[in-house]
Amino acid sequence: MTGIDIRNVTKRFDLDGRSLTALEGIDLSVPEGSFAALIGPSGCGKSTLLRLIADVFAPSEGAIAVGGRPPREARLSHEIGFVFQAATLLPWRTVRENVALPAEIAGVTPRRSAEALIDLVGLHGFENAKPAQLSGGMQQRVAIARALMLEPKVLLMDEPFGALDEITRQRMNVELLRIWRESGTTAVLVTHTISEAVFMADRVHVLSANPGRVTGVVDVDLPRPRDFGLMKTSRFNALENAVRQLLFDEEENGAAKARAHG
Amino acid sequence: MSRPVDTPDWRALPTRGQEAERRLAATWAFLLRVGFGVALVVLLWGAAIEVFEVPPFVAPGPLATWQAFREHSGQLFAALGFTLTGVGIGLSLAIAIALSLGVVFTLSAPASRAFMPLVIGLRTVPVLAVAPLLIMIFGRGQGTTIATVVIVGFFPIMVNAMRGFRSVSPTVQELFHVAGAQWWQLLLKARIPFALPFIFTGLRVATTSALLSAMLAEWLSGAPGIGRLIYDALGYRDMGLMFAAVALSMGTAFVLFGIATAAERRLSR
Amino acid sequence: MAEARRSWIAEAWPPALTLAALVAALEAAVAAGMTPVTIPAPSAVAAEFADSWGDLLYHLGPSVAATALGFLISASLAALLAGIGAAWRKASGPVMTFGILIDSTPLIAVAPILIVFVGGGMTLHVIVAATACFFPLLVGMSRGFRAVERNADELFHVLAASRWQRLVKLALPSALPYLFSGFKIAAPLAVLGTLIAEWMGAERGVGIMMIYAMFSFDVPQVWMTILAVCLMAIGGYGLFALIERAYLRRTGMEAAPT
Repeated sequence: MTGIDIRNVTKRFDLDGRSLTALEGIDLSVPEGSFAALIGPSGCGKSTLLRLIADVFAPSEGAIAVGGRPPREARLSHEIGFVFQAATLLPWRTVRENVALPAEIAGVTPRRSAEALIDLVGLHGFENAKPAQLSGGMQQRVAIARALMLEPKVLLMDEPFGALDEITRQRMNVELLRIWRESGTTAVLVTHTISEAVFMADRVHVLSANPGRVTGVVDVDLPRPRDFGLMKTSRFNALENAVRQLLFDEEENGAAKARAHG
Repeated sequence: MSRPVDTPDWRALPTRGQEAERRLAATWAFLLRVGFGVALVVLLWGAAIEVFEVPPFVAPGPLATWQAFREHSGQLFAALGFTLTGVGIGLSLAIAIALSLGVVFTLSAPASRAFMPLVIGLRTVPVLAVAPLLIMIFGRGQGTTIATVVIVGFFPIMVNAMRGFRSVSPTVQELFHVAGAQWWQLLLKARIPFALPFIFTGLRVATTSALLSAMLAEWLSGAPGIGRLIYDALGYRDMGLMFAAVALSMGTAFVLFGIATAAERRLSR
Repeated sequence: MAEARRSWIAEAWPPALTLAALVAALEAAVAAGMTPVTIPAPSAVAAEFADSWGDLLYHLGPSVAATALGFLISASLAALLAGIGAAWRKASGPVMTFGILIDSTPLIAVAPILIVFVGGGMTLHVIVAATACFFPLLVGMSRGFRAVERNADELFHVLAASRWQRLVKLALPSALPYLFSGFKIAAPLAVLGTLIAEWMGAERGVGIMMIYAMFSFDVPQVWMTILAVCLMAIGGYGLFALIERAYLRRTGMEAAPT
């Protein structure tokens, strides 16, 4: 069991002495081997939630289990792969050395070589390039290869293609789905693009801001493997609208509530 | 360092009143820190004199220095005034020269290509080293002080001003071009406003080194400023006067630095 | 690569030509008797270099030694303080305040107090050189110790890296460009510190040689010593610039902003 279970999690930050509730009462589970998307306006704490799963922060209340164990244990046994919005490659290392970094730190000989992963993300021939020589999309591919180095049970992605242009992003999405199918990990994707969330995920979790709460879940029953043609179907549009409804209804309710209080 | 959280919404932002309160508190905290720092230095100084039983003809304590300061205050402030006059005139000249040359270099690409690398190269060199030469040229009066301040202040102002003039982005230049602006309109309405924070950075650097340069020039040339006074006092072994002069010049340096930093900060906000 | 070299030459020839033209014009002006006595012909300064380079070397020795020693002491102290500031967040404010105080203290005002306690010899020269170059070293090291990006820090956390791995694989390589940039700025300042201290008194040193030349109105020798000091400063700057460039080129990193 390497699914993710989040039970009644609340996270508060101390900002200049004031307490800021980033997340409140989050209940969420991601079944093993499935692909989940977290979507919400900025300030809804979706990135924070991802970092709670990765044990970068600890929850203020509630519990998180990664494969039935606390996140800390999962992290220390190198079961978590993390992809940031910025590629976060070490500029003094070549592509190969960047991809191999997790194995180097864990002190293990990985089952798959760095070269094989570089092939998997379609960067064959760039093994010895420095990050500065690569385009943004290529850098992000390196970051994904690095996250997969130790065959993590859980792959966490924080708006990995947010800085890329729309065309590159859609290509990367198709490729990410292929890589995910081949690796068989449990994946969580944070995004602020509705079509991306529907296209990628088995289940879309919609969050609202201030404080961050789960306002609804949309199950995406589209067949896999998915391709661009799918985006033109009416079923895809209906799912997009379902997510949109959850996102914007909540906003209007919030505004109405603010008016009522004011 | 507190980790930034996802952007909070407007309800979490501080109001104007809270901001003013915070600024006032910050000012108090700053003054308190300065006062605490000065008290600490004076205390350590007095304690060191007491503990090591330093005789007053080697180094006086804070109290003796204060007495000397009051006794010689006329002489001290006259000397400081002389030095600050030189600093003021020198800095004004340095600004005028640096900015006019900066404008010329900005407008003329060939002039910039021919001279800017030399200016940047000279900035890595300790220009204060030419002080003896300036004494030979300008003699033993205030001229040397002014010339030294000019030559030391010129380079940081010039280099930063050039950086500022060039910080105008190509899009802004295109905007002015499309609007049919003349070169002087681009200069007045874009280059100079964009350059101001940079110029003040240069001015801050120039101001902090200006006092040191002026005192050094006076000490070498014998002009009657505070730099000379310190060494005359050392020569007569009048340690009370020397410590008073040292304390006064250090205080002046910190105040000058504070003013220049505050001006820079206010402008680059 | 060839293109880079060509553009380098294209950038270098205008200032080189300007410099040559200035020197030639000065030479002509002196020959025509249009300059005051305090401005010698460049050829006279060159002749002075040729005549008294033995003397110059004799005086340069202790100056270089004092500069290098002062720089080393200052760098160690800056590393210690910046390390404390980086390890203990509460200390970083006071450490920086201390650096700014040192930086805005006029050296010339503190020197006499130092003279009273340590005398006017080599010790004074080293202390003043160390004080003069302290602030840029402190800034460079503080920035260097803080150069690790937040995301990179989180990456190493998620990868469960040990403290040692963080230091060797992340903190040190990130810090080096900032350290080099600080060294580059600090080296000429250490030279200036030594010079000022030597003006106040020394048996040997290029500063005292300059003062003697000034008092005996030996104009070419004053110019020669000034040029020698400038060359010392450029040498220090150039040394660190070369090391920096080699490191940046090998690692493919960008220079730290100054």
